[in-house]
Amino acid sequence: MEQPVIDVRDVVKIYRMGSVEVPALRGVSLQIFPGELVAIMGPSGSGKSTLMNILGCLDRPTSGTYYLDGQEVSRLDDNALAHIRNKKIGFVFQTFNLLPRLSALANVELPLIYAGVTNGRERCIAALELVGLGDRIHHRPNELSGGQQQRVAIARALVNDPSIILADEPTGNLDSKAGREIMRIFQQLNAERGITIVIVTHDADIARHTRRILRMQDGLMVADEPVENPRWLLEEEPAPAAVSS
Amino acid sequence: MAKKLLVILRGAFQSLTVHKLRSALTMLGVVIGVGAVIALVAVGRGTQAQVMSQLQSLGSNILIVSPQIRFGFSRTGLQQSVRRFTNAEVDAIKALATSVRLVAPEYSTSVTVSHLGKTASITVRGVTPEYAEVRNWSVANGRFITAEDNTNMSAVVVLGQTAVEELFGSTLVNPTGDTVRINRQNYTVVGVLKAKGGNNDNVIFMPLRTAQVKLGGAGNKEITSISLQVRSDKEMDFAQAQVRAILRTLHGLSATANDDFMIQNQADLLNTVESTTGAFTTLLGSIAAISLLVGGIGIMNIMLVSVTERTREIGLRKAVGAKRSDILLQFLVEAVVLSGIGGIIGVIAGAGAAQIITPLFGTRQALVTVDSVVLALVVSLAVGIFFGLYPANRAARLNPIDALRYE
Repeated sequence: MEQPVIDVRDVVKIYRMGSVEVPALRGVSLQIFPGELVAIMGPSGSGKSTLMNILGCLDRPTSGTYYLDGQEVSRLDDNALAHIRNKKIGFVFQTFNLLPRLSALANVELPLIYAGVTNGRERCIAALELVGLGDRIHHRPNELSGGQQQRVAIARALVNDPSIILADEPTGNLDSKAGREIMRIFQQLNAERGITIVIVTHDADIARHTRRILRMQDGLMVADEPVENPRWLLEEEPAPAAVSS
Repeated sequence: MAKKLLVILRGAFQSLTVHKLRSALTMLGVVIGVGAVIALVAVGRGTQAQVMSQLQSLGSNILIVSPQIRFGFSRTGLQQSVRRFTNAEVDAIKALATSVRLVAPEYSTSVTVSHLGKTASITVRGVTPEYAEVRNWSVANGRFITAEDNTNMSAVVVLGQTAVEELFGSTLVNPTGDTVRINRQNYTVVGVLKAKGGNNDNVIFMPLRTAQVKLGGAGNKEITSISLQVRSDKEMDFAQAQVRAILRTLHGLSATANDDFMIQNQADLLNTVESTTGAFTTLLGSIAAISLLVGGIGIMNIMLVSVTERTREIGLRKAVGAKRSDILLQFLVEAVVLSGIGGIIGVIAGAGAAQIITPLFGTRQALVTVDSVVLALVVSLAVGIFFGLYPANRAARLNPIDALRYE
């Protein structure tokens, strides 16, 4: 069987607020395979953000294991996690998080700088062209619309050729038209390039653009179901949903 | 690595230019600190160089004898005692010190001199004719003090260039034959001295006896110091020993008692000047360094503000793979750029300020030396590193999740 990109087993995360222990994840297991397009849903407080942070190697679980690309990452130190984030993970945030003083190109270049890549300009331009911004590479964020800014952020997430793209409410700050455009790009990257994408959202409409939905509640994974009729924004029909066992 | 550093440096300039006024004001602290150090050290060095060159023109066969102030304890507390010289010491040296060619005693005191409403505070030196030769003075106009002036206790004076300028308004005037007033008495100007430079020229000479009696009071026979010209350089040590023996005998000192006078040669005087002006320079430099410290605190303050403002940026950079050391370096470079540029501007401003304040110290030329410039730049970089380290470390330790969520 194919090795999963994400393999999380019995992950528990407990936050300490003074003397009170607050369990945010109470034993979550999941597997995501290469080429999947997955939505993680759940109401606020369900633990989906906590799970997202752990999947993104921004945080470590209190207990349980997390294999990313076959590598155990749940016990690594800060610098090793920074290295993993740089090489294997692309982030897309609700608020875009672009650096306002840098051009689109320089924003996309940021992960390459920390990777020590010196001649990444071509790759950055290619990534911007992929999200349809090949003509805007020298614009600053404040000269771009919200949808365009989020596309720059997607290009930034792509540029290091990560194993997985994690998107946290990527359409939350966009109108529905711009939101659909972002989802179209995700579908395109997934279908044409086989990039694994995980989208955290509370919006059922957005989730319907993926092929698998994981539902969380009270720190537990309560459902894992394929999307019956994914809302497909591309010309071609979607490939049949990857079979998860 | 070089490219990475270049990117960091460019980023530092970019983020500093976002808040131009803020960066400039922060830099100003370092500019003032470095500028003050450079300017004051330059003035100190200039003064030192000037005094040294004057002493070097003194000649290597000169001895200067002066009373030694002594401190001692008695029942009433700390006592200060000084045995002043009189004509007796001069006569004894003249009679007995065979290795000494010329003896030039002086009685000097500071007085207010006036001429046609202009007044000046000037050191008056009562001297004998030998003084001009021993201390290397020559006249530009008229004549120096003569032996007859002394015998007759004539009311005559010879003016230094600065004295002429202060009393007559210009050095172009020839005041010979004119009169000046000292202590409500008129003195005829019989000569003007050639310039020697610096404070040296702020001087008036008059006959020794005239000075002793008219400025010191009737019957006053005090001598402030005695300059001696030794026959040759080879006899310096011998002359020093001879004069010492004469004075000890004259003062009735027992074999175990310390000298109550000082005999200094040119090397001694150079050492004294070097150490006192060196201490003066260090003192000025240290005071100025305090303002550099204040400048450093300003940098730390602004960097802390900057770290807080850019918390989300730090979070994002960490999310895309920046290690602690990357963030640390980024903020440290910003602090060092601030202090480094401040240092460079400070050196230029300080060199300029030195030229302006030099006259206030009676120094002709400020000396901005390479070592003080290098030191100031190194210190300002060190200030940037020292005061930038805490804010940069604070940025580097931020948790990426909290930083990304920071509003």
